[in-house]
Amino acid sequence: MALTNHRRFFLGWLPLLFVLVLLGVLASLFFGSNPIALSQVWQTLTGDSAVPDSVKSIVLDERGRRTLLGLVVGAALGISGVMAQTQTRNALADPGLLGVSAGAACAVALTIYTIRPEGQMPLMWAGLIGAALASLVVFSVASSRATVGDPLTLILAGQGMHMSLLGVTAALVLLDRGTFTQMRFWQAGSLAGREDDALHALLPFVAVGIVLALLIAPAINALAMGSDYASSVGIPVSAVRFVGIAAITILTGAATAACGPIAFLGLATPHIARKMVGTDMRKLIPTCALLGMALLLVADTAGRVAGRPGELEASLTLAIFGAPLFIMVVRNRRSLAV
Amino acid sequence: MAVTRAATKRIWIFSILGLAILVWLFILDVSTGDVNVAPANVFAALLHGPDPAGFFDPLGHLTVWEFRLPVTLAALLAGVGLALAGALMQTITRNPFASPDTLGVSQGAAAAAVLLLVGIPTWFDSSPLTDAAVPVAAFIGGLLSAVLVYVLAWRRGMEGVRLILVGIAISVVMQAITVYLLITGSVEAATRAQVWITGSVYDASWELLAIAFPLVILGAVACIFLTRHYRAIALGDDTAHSLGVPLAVVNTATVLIAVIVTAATVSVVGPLVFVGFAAPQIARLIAVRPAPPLVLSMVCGAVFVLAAAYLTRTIPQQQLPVGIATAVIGGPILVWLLFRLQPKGL
Repeated sequence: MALTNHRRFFLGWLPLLFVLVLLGVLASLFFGSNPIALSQVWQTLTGDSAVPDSVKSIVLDERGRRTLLGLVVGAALGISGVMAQTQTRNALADPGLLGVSAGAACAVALTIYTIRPEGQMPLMWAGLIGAALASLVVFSVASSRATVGDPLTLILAGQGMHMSLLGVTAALVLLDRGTFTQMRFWQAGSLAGREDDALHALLPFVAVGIVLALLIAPAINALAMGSDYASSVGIPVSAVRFVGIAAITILTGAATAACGPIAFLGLATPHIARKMVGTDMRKLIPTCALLGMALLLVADTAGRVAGRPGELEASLTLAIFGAPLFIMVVRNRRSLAV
Repeated sequence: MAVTRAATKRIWIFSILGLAILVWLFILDVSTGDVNVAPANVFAALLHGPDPAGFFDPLGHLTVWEFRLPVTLAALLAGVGLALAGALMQTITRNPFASPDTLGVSQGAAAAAVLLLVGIPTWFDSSPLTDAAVPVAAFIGGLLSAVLVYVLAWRRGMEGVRLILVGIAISVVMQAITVYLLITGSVEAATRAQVWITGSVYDASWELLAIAFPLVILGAVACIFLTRHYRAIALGDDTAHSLGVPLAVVNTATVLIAVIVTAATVSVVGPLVFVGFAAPQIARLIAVRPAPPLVLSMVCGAVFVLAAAYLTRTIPQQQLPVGIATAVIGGPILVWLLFRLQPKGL
């Protein structure tokens, strides 16, 4: 025990995580469904003018843009995952569980079904509104009980919403072939084929979500000792829970609206992160953000390389390569309590 | 003790009430469709038996026995089977989350079925071979997936939360594979696959039911021998252990029953969401007990799916899969129950 907890975090884990993210970014830029020589990518990145324009546009525009999108979405899903697990005190909680991504999916299906919009932006906004409405309903159900914010009630209400919304989505999809054709591509969460402005619209929401999460991190630490203890040291328990739900909604809603439902990242990241840095939320939130970024970028790159000449969706690769890792963590953990 | 006796009485009253509703829904469901058969005639035809000779309304008899009964029985099977599996999983894990969906069975079955429906286009044509192959593939896929989950979750014994976590991981993988297959297939094949994975009773046949029903009934009967252990398990693993419950044996047997029942059900009706999760919870809330009562759960599940099947049938033109209705009705019912019947101290 030469290092204290804090020093181990700042000198050990944090630099390691940054290196992981950097590796993810480099992998995402250097490898893709188009086999481009690594030296050419390097020349492009260092600003060598001898590189043909076609290579430049692939590396900087296509790969660069989806790398940025991957960083933002990865951070958003990683943080919303850890927030959801602490909020519900359930090791199984996933933002999808609260009905948030189902709300987004349902709103997107409804938008396609009714107005058949051009491009990705209307769907993005629809997804965001759907996610917000779903969270609002779930949280008002859970908070209007005598047992305010009781984790079990929240989960049951969220799961109810989730299933119902999926049912409505299935109905819309089966009633109209056009909706089905469009929805089945969006349903596979991916960083590919998303519009330029998705990233711009996404950024402010994710920024707000991250700030909210960090603001209440110390309060969540106190809440982990029990709500009686938390209120006795002067923490406004309901307010903290509300802000937590708001952060989950904003982060998941925005990410889902931009990329489609990407499962597993929000469920897996916190489990791995807790293994690294313990249960202090002030460390867990940055850890989950960085871990989420790295995992999503690696998954996306692997899908592009493995699926040549096409590509596998990031959500699929994430599930297939992430599941064994996740199962390993589950098997090795002594206790699964959050 | 007084509380327990009152709760037991409640369970009995609601079970009998539920059974009465079930019989009524059953007759109603069989009598409704493109051709309506009067409920009295349905009743008479059912009593008359499968042989039409000597029955006063041959067309009605044909409609009831050939077309309606398999579909309605499939709905009944789905309700009973999924609710039983859900109740068992929720009991041994003491987690309201546990359901057939989190065991990996439903998603594994769905992935295997979609692989056939989408991956091999020529099989898309409705032939007797396809009709048989899809449920068989689903059954095998569900079992394999469950075995995978169980093996991966076993570590010096079985722990409920670990089982669910591994189950969810495998479910997510299977789901991702299903979505990927839906993208790669033609629109027609993908639509058919989407109907299957939403859960539809219209593919049911007497042959399938003759295999699936005995499996579900066997599972339910096997549970009778385990019921007294479940009461102890509801008090916690440590308490159950000190009361002499062979935890490893009971848990393994229970998971095995739940898996087989789920696979049998899902191979006939598809992965009908929400039933395995909601029915036991509704029963638990009615009974005001920490663990869902098995019989009441099965009655709730059957009523739930039959009502859903009846509703989808009243919508003309579209043969909408019953899974849509179970999902759309189930959510609000559960939320309403959370408002109304929140038991103290649970």
